[in-house]
Amino acid sequence: MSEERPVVFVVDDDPSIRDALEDLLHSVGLEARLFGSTREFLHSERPDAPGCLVLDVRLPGPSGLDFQRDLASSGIHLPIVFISGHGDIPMSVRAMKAGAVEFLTKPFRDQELLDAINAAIERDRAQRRDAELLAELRERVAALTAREREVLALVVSGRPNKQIASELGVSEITVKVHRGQMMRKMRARSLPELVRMADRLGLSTGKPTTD
Amino acid sequence: MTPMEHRTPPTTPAAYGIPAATAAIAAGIFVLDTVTRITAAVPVLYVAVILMAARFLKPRGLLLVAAGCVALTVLSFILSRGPGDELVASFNDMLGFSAIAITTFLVLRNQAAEAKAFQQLQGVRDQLRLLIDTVPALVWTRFPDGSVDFLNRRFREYTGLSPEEGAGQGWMNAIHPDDRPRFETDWRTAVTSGRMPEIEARLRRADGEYRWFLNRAAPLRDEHGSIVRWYATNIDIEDRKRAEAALREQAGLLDLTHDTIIVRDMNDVITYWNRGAEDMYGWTRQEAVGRVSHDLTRTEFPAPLGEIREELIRTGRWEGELVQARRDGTSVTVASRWSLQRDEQGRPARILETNNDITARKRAEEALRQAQEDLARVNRVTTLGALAASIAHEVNQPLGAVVTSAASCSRWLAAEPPDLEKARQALDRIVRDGTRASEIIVRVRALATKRRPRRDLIDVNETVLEVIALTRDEVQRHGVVLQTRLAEGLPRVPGDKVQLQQVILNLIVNAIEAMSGIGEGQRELLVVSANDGPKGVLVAVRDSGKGLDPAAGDHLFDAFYTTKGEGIGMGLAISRSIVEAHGGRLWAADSEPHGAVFQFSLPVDDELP
Repeated sequence: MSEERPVVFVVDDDPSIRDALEDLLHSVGLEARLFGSTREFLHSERPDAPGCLVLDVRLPGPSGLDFQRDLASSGIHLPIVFISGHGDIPMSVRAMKAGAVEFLTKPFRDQELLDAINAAIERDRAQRRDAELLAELRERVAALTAREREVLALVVSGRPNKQIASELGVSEITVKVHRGQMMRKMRARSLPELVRMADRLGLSTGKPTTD
Repeated sequence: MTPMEHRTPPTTPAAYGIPAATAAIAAGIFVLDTVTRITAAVPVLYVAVILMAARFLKPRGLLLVAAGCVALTVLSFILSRGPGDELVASFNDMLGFSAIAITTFLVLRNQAAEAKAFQQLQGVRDQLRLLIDTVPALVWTRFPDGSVDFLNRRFREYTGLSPEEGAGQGWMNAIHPDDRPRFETDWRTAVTSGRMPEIEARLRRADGEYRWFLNRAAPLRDEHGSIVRWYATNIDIEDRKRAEAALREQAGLLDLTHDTIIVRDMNDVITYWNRGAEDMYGWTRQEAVGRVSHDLTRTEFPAPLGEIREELIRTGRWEGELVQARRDGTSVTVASRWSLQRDEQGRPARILETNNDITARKRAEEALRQAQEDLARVNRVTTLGALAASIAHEVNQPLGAVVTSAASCSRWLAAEPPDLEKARQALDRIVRDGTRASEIIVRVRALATKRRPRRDLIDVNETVLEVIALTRDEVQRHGVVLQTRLAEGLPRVPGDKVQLQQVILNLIVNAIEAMSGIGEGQRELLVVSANDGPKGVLVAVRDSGKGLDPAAGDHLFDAFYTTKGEGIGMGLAISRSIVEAHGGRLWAADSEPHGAVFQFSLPVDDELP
């Protein structure tokens, strides 16, 4: 788990707003990175730390909403808090549907924004934790032998050892050995835990095939 | 000498008796001489015959008479010859011959002297006649009874009357029938009073044309004071009459014009006041003449009177608008033109002032200007209405910053220990952003408020940026990328900032509108400012839309020409009239590679109308 200091990215073309936000974030001990345009933001070096993006809806060039979509498709999953000069319900609905944490209309209460930012950072932390966990699971799976991976797939699909043995054409004893190895390598203490891992990894948890 | 030229006075009957008496005396002497023949020297008496004959005979006749007397003496000697008295008779006869000869000689010499004197007189008279015939006047004399005594050659040549036709009262036919009775009346008065007034009458020329003549006459009186003749001259005054008529006609024309015409001397005292002036001011000519014009009309001058006079003296003319009062106190605005007239020495003599009532025109102009102002304001307000969301955003933006900064400030103050420096910085930002919001509101209000145009020196770039600030959100909402390319160091232009902002606003709103039909990502708006030659500033608004409609041409700038669903098509018409009122021009062209460019230039020099 990374315990790095979270960073708040602010993209707003209005320098007054940027200045005010920077100071507000500093006052609560958050680090702020400020950008006048989405292009500046994309070209910047982003630290590997939890964070969020405070994004003005109306920007020169593509709007904040368009940018939200572009970010998602380019694999940047920073949670977004939208701020807008004038609230407009269809716009906020679209933003929230696309996964925005909050949609605030200027002028907003400082605490509202800070709460939204904290929530966004928490979400990012969770995302980052998730992502780390997944990466580890992938490493564990990678460490399995081909036979162990086959056993894993059949175990999480709910088949008993006997059936697995017959499907793999090996003895039940051999299946038990592989299964033990697999459970140890995957650091799964129980079958349900293993199933959750497989689920996270997106492995098939399909119905048992009858033969 | 013809009778017409000069007639001798009528001869008295007694005059014809002299030769007869003379002959009778001669006969008497002869008889006496013949009968008596004694002691007396009767032939001496023939002297009387010669003296009498000299009164009516020329030298030759006189010599014949003298010879006759000698012959008669000799005859009576022969007839009465008697014996013894020859000697005495001869002596008497000799005495008679001598007397006849001496008398004849003396009479002849006297006659010769008289003839010479007469010739000299004749010469003088001929000269006078020549003079009378050549003076440029018709000269004539009349007897008191009205019959013509003499007409000079010019008279006869002018009228074409022969001496016979002109004789007596015949010359009267040359007088115009309309003038004849008056002429006759005056003449009769003159004859009785002995004074002849000057008479103007038309005389017929030989070719039938009548011309005006001035007739003057003076009487010639004899030693008893009674009038013998009238001497008269007629002078041709046709040209003078015509000039007078023309003048009268022109003076009449001056009264016909609706313009007021006033002539005043260099002390501004009115010397002429035409009918138009009477009508306009309500003062009659009699009342106005002699008054000081500016006092009478209570004139308000557009400049100090001294300066106006200076210009008038320097250039000979002045033009301007005056506000004056009529007799009833109502006000009248006139376009006034003054011209200076100088005397022969070149000194300013008098001033001709023509005034033209433009009160109604001024009122109409004012109403039109007011209507235009109102329309322009409607356009501004309409445009602002269209931009309401954008403007709200522009005000909201600094307000949002203010609220956030205020929150930060409060947090810095609440910290342990309070961070006063940070709090102060936050307050500085609050002041800055609050001011910004207020400036936008002031600007919007300036655009929306009813006001008279002003003339200031304007920074064009600042004006452009202020408008862009109001439209920024609108631009972004339409996915338009707005760029500016503003030249540095542009000269300021004289004009009304709000009006110029209105023009730029119209152009930007139009440009955004023009690009609504093309895909997002291609919508580009470029606002450029530049020098336009040494004496102008140019502003161009370039879009990347579909370009100008070739069918529209210059109708783009017509009132009510619109291609938009909403809007009344006044934006460009108003913009053009604003730019032209600033002495500049506004035009449109296609842009490269696509789109349109609307631009206007404004003069830097203050040479506005």
